[in-house]
Amino acid sequence: MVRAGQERCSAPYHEEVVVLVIDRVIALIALAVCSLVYWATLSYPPEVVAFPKFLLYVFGGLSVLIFIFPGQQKSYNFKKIFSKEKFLTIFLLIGYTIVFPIVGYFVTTFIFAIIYLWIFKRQGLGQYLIYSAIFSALMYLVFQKGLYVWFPEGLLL
Amino acid sequence: MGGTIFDVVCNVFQITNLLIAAGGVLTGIIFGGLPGFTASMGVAILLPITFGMDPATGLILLGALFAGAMYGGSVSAILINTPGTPSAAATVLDGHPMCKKGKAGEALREAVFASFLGGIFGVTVLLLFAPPLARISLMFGPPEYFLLAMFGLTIIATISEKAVFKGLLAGALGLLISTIGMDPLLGIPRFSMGFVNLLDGIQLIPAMIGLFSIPEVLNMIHLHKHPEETPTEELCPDFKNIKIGFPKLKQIIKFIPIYIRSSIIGTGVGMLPGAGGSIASFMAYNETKRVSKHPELFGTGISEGVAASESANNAMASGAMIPMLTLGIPGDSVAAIMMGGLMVHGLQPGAELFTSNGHIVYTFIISLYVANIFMLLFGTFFAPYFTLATKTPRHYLAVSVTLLTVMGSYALRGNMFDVYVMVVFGILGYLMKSHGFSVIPTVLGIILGPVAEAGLNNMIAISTGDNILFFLFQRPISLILIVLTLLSIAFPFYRRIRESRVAI
Repeated sequence: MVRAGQERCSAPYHEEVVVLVIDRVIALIALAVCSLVYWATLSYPPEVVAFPKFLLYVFGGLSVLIFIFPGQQKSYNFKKIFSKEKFLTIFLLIGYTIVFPIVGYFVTTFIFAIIYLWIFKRQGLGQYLIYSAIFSALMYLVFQKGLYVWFPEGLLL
Repeated sequence: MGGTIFDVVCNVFQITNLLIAAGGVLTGIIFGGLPGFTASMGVAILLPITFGMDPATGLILLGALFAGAMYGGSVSAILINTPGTPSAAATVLDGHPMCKKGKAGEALREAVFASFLGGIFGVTVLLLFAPPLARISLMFGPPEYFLLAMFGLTIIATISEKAVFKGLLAGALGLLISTIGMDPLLGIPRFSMGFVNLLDGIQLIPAMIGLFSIPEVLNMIHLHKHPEETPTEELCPDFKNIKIGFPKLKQIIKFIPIYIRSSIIGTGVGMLPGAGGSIASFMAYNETKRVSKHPELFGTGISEGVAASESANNAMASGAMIPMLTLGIPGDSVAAIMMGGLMVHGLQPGAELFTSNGHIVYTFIISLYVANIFMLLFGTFFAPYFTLATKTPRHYLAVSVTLLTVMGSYALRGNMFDVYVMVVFGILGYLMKSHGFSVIPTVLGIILGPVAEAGLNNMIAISTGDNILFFLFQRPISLILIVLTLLSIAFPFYRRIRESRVAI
């Protein structure tokens, strides 16, 4: 049985509603951040936070405007925005930045490059090994020998 | 003065600087030719390499890279139907059809020659107009600097974005981020959340590297896993037998009006904060089509279309430097990153840059002529080979860029905290871009925040007792800036109303 108004729940209509909801959620998050920062400004002398307060009024006002007039983006593709490979990349990057100062530049960079390449295409491990060794050495030469940037040596190298 | 000119020319023609310029152009062409890599990303990840260089040499590298990238985008646009940079999108319209007709060599010749002429025109305008414009900045007081920052931010947030409120919110976010750190009036730490590293505020370079590079890396990885979402790349039939050479004098003379008109459009649009290369090249393309005797041929593969688009986007590159060097308002995202590079070397845009540090800024400007000559030579002799770079597997590119972002952020102060800042801003940039927010207003907000705050504080101090609005209305430049700011906010709404009326 076809219910009244069911035809309105077609894909484009559904997408439109999603866009409106997401934009409003973004506006609410922005307002929450704005309130939190405003609350933080109360612990400072007024002259120190005059400019941030002025900005917070503007920020809050714009958030309210986005809440009232949402739908400034055509659609959201959540599968693309929050895809598995993107999460994995961010996770690897965070892991690398945590391990890098503890273990040391060479070992971490070499291993990170191999894991990164292997995760995204499981072929040619030999090529990956050569690439990772050359890239790590090249970066070492450019930054440490050329620009005198001393990378952390860590526990290993 | 004579001595200064001689010193500048000698500096530009030092063997190190010539090699740096050639290397910058070559890297830029490769970056520009790689779909998914943008000029801003290239300049952002190579900026840390300039830290250890002499300021003039560092700027030469970045300027050459920008010029190379603007041209490089056209090579992949013509040969594989995919613009390497957004600025080359208009080049695809006639460039690739020419390629399909077996005229790839002619299209590449026109692209490099038009890019060269556009670039030379833009640099000449920069050389002639930047110094007097910089002197105008001497007439600016604290209120004008505050209003100039507001104008720069509103125009960049509204002109290029369809989502006006989101653009403005992104700009306000950048300004708010700039307030983290020591307060300039009393020296009290603000919003530093107990982190000693935040007392100096958020470092601009790691923030920019994160905002510009990490979203591109994530997209690269996504496209690597989902090749069906990649635009169709169609290689030309005569790809392996392309001969470029120099254009004939008869054709150069015939195309002179196109080169001049498009270069003027490109430079003008470049000077407008936020407009960018794609707007410049499409405007020039449309204008050339409009005045042409045979507009119906545009889009079918004619040299005029390539000439218009390429002259405009290369002229835009220098045009974007004019407001950045003179007033501290970058014309586009690359100019914003280059401004960050200036600030790292302790150089402040404005009149002083052209007086106290004249030898640096003039060396940079003159080196842009050299960069354009290198671009002409590389483009003429090696263009088809640059396309081979586009065949590099995306996962190799992604890992290289990811590692470079970490090394580059660490190189600024030898501090892991800056790397964490880069990662946080990278994630923020990705979330912003995927939800319809541009990151350019945020970067501009971080750059202009201190200028705006100092301007506002000083304005309040010197307007003792007066109503601030009344005080501002008494100052002609302030009044002009207020009107321009209001117009820049109103323009997108006017455009939308006009478009909806046309649709009806």
